[in-house]
Amino acid sequence: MFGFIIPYLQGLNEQERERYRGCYCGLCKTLSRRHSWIGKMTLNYDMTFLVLLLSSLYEPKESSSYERCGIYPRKKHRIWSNKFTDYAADMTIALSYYKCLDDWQDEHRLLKLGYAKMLKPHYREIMLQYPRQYASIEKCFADLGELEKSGCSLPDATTNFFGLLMGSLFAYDKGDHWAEPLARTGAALGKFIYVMDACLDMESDTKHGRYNPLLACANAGVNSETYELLTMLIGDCTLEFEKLPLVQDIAIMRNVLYSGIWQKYQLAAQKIAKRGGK
Amino acid sequence: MIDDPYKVLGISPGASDDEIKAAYRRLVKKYHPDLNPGNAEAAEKMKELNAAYDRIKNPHKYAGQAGNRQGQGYQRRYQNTENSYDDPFDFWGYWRQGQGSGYGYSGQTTSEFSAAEHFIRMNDFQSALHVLSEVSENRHNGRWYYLSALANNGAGNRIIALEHIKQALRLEPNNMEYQQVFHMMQSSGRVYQQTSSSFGTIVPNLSYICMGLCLAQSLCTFCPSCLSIRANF
Repeated sequence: MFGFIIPYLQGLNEQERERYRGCYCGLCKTLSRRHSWIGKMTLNYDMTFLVLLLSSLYEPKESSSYERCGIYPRKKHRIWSNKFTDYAADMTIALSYYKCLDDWQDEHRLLKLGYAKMLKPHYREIMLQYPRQYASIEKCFADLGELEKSGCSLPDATTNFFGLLMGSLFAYDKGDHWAEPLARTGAALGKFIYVMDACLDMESDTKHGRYNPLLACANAGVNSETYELLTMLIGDCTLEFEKLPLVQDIAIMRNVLYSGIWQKYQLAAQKIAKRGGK
Repeated sequence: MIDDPYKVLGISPGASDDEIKAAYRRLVKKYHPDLNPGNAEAAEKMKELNAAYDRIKNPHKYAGQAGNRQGQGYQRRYQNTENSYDDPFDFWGYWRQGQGSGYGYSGQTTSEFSAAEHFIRMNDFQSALHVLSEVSENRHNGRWYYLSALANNGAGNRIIALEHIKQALRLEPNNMEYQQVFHMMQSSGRVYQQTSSSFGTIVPNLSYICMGLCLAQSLCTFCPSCLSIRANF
């Protein structure tokens, strides 16, 4: 949804890169199989991490194949998927639907409203299968909307709502032994990406008079203060993540959480440094 | 009450984090109820494995229990690992027992502040926040920000908690108690940085970004893990 939860590719070996790409392509394929081209348009990296995480924890049966595709047409490569790919694909549609609505409300971009309208029937249909996640998404966005409208100045209020939402998506099976630790990991990760998004948007939100959850913080934006805050939040996440008994693909997931996740922030920091240097 | 959790998982107490996870998974595959339908013994073994794993991964949950001899030995072992001081629960437990706060505070205590402190000790963070919100803004001193940081942190409001403990330190830079809480709030981030530095990682390495970290490090005068990081440099 935000596109922050990505690996640092140079930090992965060839095998790990192929494994990650196979997961991503599996999600892409599943999205178009389940939700046609509209679904394919929602593809993003954030939910690829969820596939890796749930697959590592539960090790379900995987199906894989060697294929070519439009994005990597030159060489056939391995694509793999399992029941969590289906789940992540459905959750991608749900989140994208709300992200489009949110963008429309915040920025009045007509294109986003149109896209949300196209996604809506898919969303409705999907969520019949996931009543718990459905309730959680609906409640979270209603609460967020209300807080944003009232110009809520407590940064934690909105952040924690979004954390709850991500937590409920991560806890795949509520009755399972690992549901709670998964929810805590997801909630902490959700808070982190929500705050990182707010930091990166701070400048343009201020310029356009838009709501930003960090508005009340004296020193929001990309700087040492927020770097300290973000480090604390991602630390909360890895504290929970490292408690899960994960072995399969652990190197890829650690690469994402301990390094890849900072790539967009680093780019923004570099931009600011360049501007300051001129 | 289980025996030594390491014994249950069939590993030595010196096992690495990843070895613990691998051992747990190996045994779970053997005793999982799906593979042993109707087998009461396997189900019992699963419970034991989960409990042992939980005990190693969440030691604070068991810290309050008297435990048997093996249990105590295990607790000691955990606390000697390098990250143990960074387990926030060690500190909050210590704070709640009354060692951390109140003592050594020579400033003026008001009834609202001691009420808030009482609620924080009782884990009733919402009531603490409510009491603190009743204090008019012109009386927001270092102590108020300190208590607000504790109450917000307990209520899961990590962003405001960090802001307020920093504000408390701006008002009373030499207050050891505030420094300690600031240090504890950042413990998860510190563990994170230790691990991520071994990843040859992306850290936005701009001079202006470095400032905050240096400030934070200078406050870590009493943390063994920070001392060890500095010693490595």
